[in-house]
Amino acid sequence: MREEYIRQIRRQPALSRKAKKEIIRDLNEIFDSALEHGETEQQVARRLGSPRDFAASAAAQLDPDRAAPKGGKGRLALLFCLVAAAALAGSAGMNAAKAPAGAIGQADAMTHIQVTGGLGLDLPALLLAAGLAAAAAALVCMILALGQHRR
Amino acid sequence: MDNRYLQQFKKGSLEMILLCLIGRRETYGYEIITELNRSAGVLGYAKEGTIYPILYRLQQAQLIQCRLAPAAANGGSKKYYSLTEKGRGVLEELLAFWSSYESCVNGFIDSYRQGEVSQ
Repeated sequence: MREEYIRQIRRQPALSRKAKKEIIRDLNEIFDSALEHGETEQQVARRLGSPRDFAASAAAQLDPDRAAPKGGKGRLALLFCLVAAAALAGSAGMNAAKAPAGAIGQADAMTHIQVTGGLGLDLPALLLAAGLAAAAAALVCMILALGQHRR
Repeated sequence: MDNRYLQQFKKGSLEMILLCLIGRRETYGYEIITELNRSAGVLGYAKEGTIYPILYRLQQAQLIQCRLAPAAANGGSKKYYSLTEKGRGVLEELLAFWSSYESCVNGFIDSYRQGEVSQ
């Protein structure tokens, strides 16, 4: 019963390696002390609650960042991915719709274009840059999220 | 009665009770549980699953500290808890608050009782 309980604590993702080490030491003391006073391992396990609940309560104190609702950086990565996909698709779409330079026959009648100003912004290029920046940010968030999970 | 009201009372006071127990003398987990179950029956049955997370919290807040010592009886080790200076200061503040809180709550209870009698 003790071995099984500790084995399940080892498998809890909410706890860092350091916290697991401390908790497992404490669990061994808890079981040892109770057995010393004539209690059974089943009684102790009942008082401890499920390994998952115990790990979650302990993690909230020992690893508050890790125990916080999962997916903070993962969700951010997903958001950046969506922004990147939208920006890149927009950029690609605008480029596809654009007539190649020097194309003939793009207008049915004579056109008179008067340039009155402008910032000289190339929207497809801006979207491409935003898309690439969002993709890079998503990659960083994914790496951070993976690093936090492995810690 | 809805058990949630009682749980709220207990939750709020358990940390202070643990600080009192640990502040009295150096003690370890099983002794704390036994002491709570012996003299604080009104709090309900103390369980390791409830007490240890609070001990971790107090330790993280640097209100208590611990040292490991060999446990002769079972060949393992025991973690002995004691109050830090910060913990003692916080406990004194909590006790001062508890006194004024108690007289405040008692004032409301007394006024309720008097109103009940005069009805």
